[in-house]
Amino acid sequence: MGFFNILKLSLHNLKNNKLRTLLTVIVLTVVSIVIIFLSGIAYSFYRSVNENVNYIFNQEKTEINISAVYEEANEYYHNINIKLDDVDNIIKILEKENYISYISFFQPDNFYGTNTMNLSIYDSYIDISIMPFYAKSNPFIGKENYLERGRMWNSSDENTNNIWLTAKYIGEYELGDTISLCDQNYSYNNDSILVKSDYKVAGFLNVSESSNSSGYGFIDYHNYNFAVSSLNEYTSYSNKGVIKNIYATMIPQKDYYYGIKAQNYFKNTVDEIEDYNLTFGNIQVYCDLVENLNLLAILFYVMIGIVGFISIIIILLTIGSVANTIKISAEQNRKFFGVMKAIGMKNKSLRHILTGQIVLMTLIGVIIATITVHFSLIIIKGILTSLLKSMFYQIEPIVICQISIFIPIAIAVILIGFVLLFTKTSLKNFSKMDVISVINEVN
Amino acid sequence: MIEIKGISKIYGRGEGTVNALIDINLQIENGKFVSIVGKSGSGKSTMMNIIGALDKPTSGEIISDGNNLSKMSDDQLAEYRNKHIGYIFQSFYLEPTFTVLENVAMPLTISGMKKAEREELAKKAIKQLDLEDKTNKKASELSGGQKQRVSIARAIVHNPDIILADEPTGNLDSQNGQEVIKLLQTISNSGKTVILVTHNIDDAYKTDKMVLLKDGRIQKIIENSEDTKKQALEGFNDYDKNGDLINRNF
Repeated sequence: MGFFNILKLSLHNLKNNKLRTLLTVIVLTVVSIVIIFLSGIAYSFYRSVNENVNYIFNQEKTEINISAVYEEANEYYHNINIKLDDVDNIIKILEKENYISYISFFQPDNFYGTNTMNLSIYDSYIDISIMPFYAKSNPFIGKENYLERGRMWNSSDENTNNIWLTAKYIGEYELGDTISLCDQNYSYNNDSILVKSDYKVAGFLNVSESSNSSGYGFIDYHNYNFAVSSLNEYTSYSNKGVIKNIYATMIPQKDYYYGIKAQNYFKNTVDEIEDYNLTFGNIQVYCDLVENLNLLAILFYVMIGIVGFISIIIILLTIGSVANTIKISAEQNRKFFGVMKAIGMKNKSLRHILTGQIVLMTLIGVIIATITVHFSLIIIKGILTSLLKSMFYQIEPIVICQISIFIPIAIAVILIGFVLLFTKTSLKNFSKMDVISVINEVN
Repeated sequence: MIEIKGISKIYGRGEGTVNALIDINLQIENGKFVSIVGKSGSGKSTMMNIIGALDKPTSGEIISDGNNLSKMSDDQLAEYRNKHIGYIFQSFYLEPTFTVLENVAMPLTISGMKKAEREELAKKAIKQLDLEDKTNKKASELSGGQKQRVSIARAIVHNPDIILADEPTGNLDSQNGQEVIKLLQTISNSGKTVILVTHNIDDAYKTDKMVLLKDGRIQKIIENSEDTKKQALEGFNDYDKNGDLINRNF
């Protein structure tokens, strides 16, 4: 029997009991909608995170040394008091650069006696807020130097911030470079960071000319940019002061109205963090971007697992329903099939007709589901985009489904495959029906 | 030519064994109109099923135009039925939601014939049975007589060698019944072998040959005219002196 004739007879049998066929198609449609939607969420999340992660790690990072506004920003490096006002100020500074893509700041508990505000700007397109994370180490560890026996000043440098370094530093520093000098016994209070001062390199001394004063630790932070929330490793440094919190919040590119909203966003973030700090005291949790992304990956796999589990359950339930429908349909059309067999239909053709019924119902259900989800998502995407725009600028909502065409195809194949598997024996037995008994019933 | 050699058919086992047919030997020439007559349980349906390749004998052979049906597989038998056998059922069994054309064309659909070709042949068969005005009507809209004619059209559309009619007049009034028998005679006259299974002796008299079955065995084979048949039936327990069945319908 030809393919189209088999389909025609399959369709004919489905029409023989329209209500049952309709109910089964509805079940298949609903199941397909659920699976397509869940799969789409997972797929979309995966794509969004993957693309963004790839972008971060593959793009050329631009470390901006905001030299243009350095001097102005510099004054904020000192006497930093991590309060909301400072956040405002920092954002204002950066606004002048016409873009912000990444801002980090950290709030030291015990600090290493220096200006601990640092700004790192990365050109990043992640439009999600990385969870607040904490460094338990001083990021300057390994970076600090001890001033050898130099002199803080010459007599002519009195009342200036000139500093004379030992000859050892020739080549590493030049005249006029600014370094931050902090006392070994740095001091701090809970609300502010106190620094010694910034010093300008006024000259280099031979060792013999250096004083016998003890060295001073200094951190040359001016030329130091470090990725607070990036890939650097932090070493533990527990007894000299611990950076308590480091926040990295990525905010969208400048093109959109980020100014005030960015500030609000930061304010909210800082508020949350402040509260969190108070609650957790000195608990140190180490986390950086890599770990955050790994966590996202774990979230993704968990999501996949949940989606997969739910999908399997509802597929199994659906298979039972469809298999039952086919069996009932076969029994209802027993006489028809019996007569067809009597006039020459082979067992195989009979099985094909029943298989055709399964395929038709499943395809109809999946197609309706795909169309429904597709158009629903257009509407949902529009609503969510407007909503998120008002909250977080114009960002691509990552929870918006993207349907890959392979998902509906896979669903159809899985459903058809499993139904055929489950009904294989019963269809085979049915196709070998005793034609004579059917004929006798007919007669 | 259909040759039935030593066919027996046994159903069941042990105490439940039923000998439906016992050592049947019969030859049916091509183009003959043959009736198989007997009471219920005589084995006529079983014989029809075996001749019609719906069932296989427990022992013996049936050879139809060189095809040994006893040794064919299920698929081969299905193919044989589709090509060589036309069935007419007592209850017609037409698919009520199909049109007359679709019902008549069904054997051709099963054989895989293309649509244009099979519709042409179906229309030809429909015309032969004077049903042209009903071509596109649903089978459910027809009368009993019309349904049986559609059934006959379906049985002849694929030009089979053998037409098997199983109690074709059983659900018809006498007038329609007579028409059906006439149609079968016409078909037989066109060169096809028509085998009529019936317990209606009046219908059986109209055939070329009567095969009387009782308890699974052939009681008698009577050929020639109606009168000859009536005479031949005298003396049989089931038939009165006029050659009529004591109970005309079993």
